[in-house]
Amino acid sequence: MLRHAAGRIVLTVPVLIGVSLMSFAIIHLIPGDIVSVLAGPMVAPDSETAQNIRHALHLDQPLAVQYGLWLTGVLHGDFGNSLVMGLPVGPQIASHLPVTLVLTALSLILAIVIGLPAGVVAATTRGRWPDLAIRGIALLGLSTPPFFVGVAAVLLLSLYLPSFNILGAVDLHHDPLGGLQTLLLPAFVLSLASATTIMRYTRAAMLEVLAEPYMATARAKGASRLRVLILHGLRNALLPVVTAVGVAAAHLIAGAVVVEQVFGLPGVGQLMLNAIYHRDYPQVQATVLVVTTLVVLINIVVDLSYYLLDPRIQQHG
Amino acid sequence: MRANITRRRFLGSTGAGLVAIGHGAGSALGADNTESPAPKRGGVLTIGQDENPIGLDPHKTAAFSTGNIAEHIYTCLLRWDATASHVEPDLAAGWENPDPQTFVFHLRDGVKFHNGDALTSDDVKFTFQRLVDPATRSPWVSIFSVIGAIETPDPKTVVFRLANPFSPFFNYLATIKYTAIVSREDVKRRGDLVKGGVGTGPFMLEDFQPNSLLRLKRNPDYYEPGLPYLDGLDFRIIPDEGSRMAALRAGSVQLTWLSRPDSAAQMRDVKDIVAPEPESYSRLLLLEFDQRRPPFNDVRVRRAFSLALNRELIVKVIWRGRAGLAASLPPIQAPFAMPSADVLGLPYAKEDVAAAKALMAEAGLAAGFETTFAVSPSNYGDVQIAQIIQQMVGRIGIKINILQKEWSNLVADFQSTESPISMAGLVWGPDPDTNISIRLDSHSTVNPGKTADPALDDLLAKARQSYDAAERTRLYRAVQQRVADMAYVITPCASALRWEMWSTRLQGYRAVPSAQRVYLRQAWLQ
Repeated sequence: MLRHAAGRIVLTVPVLIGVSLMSFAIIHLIPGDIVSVLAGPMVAPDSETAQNIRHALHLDQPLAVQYGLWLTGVLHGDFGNSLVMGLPVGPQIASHLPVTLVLTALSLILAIVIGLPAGVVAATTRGRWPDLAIRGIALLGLSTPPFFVGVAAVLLLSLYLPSFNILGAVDLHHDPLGGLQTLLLPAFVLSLASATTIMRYTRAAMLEVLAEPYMATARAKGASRLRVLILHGLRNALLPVVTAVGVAAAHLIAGAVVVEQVFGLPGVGQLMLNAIYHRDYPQVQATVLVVTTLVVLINIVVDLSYYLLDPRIQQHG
Repeated sequence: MRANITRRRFLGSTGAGLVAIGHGAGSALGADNTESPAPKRGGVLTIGQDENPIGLDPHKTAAFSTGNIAEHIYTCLLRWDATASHVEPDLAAGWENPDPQTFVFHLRDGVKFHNGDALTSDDVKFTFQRLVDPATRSPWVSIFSVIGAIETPDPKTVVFRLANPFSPFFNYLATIKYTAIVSREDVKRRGDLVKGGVGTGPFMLEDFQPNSLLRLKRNPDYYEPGLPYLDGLDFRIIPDEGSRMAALRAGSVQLTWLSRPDSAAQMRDVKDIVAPEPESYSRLLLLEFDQRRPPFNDVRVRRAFSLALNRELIVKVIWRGRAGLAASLPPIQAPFAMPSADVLGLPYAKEDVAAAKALMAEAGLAAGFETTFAVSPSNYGDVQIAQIIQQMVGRIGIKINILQKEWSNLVADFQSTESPISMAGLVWGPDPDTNISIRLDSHSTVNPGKTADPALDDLLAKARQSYDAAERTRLYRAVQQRVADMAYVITPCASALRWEMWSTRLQGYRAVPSAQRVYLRQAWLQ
């Protein structure tokens, strides 16, 4: 298993290079650059002032050279400086990552807390009204876009429950508990789609497992319904659910952008969005790299967890 | 800056442009109010800000979002008075103007930067040297190149010797966005002020984490006695307009602004929130033609285009009346700007489809032509106005393809007239010369439409060098007449830059149409 893990980690490198090349190409394909933003309306785009700015930021070099410069920097641990403010890009990401990670973690926990039991209940009451109700609500949760739910939630709360602290400041360094409290609503909004996915995977897996003969055997041996359900049923159904959770985690990191925008959260999504608007190439490149690494790591963890969950996989690979 | 509020014309027939709250001098909220409460010291104001600043260095970027923050940290030699019609002393306690090209300023006593260093004339000299230094790459380098020499005979006196008379000078000296005074020592120490710097303003930088939080705290050494009342300002970056509205309602922020008139209208009826109608219109919508290439190199085609437009309809439909007609200057720059009521009296400003068709025929284009119109959806109304214009000029045979571009792309296009037609809203400038010269003067390095009119150049040059307000008014009226006559650019309307609104807890604050929140220096929280 360790060999497998090592192999997977090594494979990450070509994935990261490929993704960085692609994001570099895409962001440079977008017309316009940061110069017009920095220089303002009084400076013509082709004037000397604008050209000076371009030269200082290496924007007049051929693309291959720019990519090469960036890659060399990364290999030395230097992600470069933001074009907007000249600040090093790494610490910027580091200061924004906690918010997104906490938001994503909270969403995932909420999604599991909502989705897993719902899936079990739906599976055990299959065909009856709880199952239909759960699946109906799930469809709603899946179909409603987070920006709608987010904005609607914010508006409704501000109108009818003004004491609820929405849109408060999130400063995890100085006030982690307050920050967590503020992140609950956005996390909930973000979790809805993933909760439904997890619910559906759980339900499907549970249905399969419930039909297995060992379930009846365990019951016959005198174990309580709940014990049978959880220990024998759910544990065996977990494999596809873990996959769903892994996929959901990756989507959540990316999907956090919309929620961060609506709730004004200072996370990586906001950082990326602003960087793209300003054509802040080093910032975009570095952020894409970090997010991709996270997603890849999550996938590796999910893969490796299979071994722990199902001993049969260890033997047969 | 927003020039002349007392000489503004109330737009439309309503006098609705009243600012709700008087400033700390005690003017009442409305005629029925009793005396305004006494200022209270203390409290941190949370502001719902819409954009992240692009660095905090006031000399390096023209970005509006940077100015929003810098205006609290820095001050300059002069400032606009509460009626925004004259400049009054700020860091400069007094001045003389011995000849048209020489200005002598005497600095106020006892001014300190936020780090305790005293302000001297050397810092002022350094500020203006930095502005024209190519290494700074300041967007204002072309404005301040007019300064030939700066002398500092003593630590409290600065002498500017201009290369030629330059009447906008005072207005620039009163606007923090252009001439924020910085400390020589501080810049030398930091290299640049992108992450913050020490200034002489009422608030100082406490904490700045780019893209997430920005806190300012009271400057205990601020030179106006007793001010500021607030302990500090906390800027929360909330990009989404709906979220900002909700935050204001919920009390998470006490001051914010919106850019859509319908959102602003909704907030007007909310209890405990003050949402005044903007006093004047400072955002001028401007349509540029590429005059280098056919068909817009032909003045008849441009005039026909202008004749095909019904400007009042645009104001009515898109802005629901909350905008004003404008010639090439926004109404806020009265008396230089032509009053909205007179705009339709300009040549080719009043809709006349028959005359437009005749001009097209005269130009040999009776069959019409196809062209591209670049516009950005980032600002409310721009795309819809483009669509209305598309329909209006369709009647005279001009078939427009609207090209929606993302904001940075549009700015690049707009500044170099890449597309035959492009349109964007101009932020106010402190002086009528600010926007109009760079766009229409043939010597300007920007001049997007490539206008080349010696008569116009002459008028602009004279207006730039005349210190007589009446003379300048006459000249700028002539400029607007000429621009309308030759249809170099089209200005469908001018609207408010922002609709400011705040909780009733905030007292003593005054919103100004240039969307500078400088009056926070005299505001307090109940």
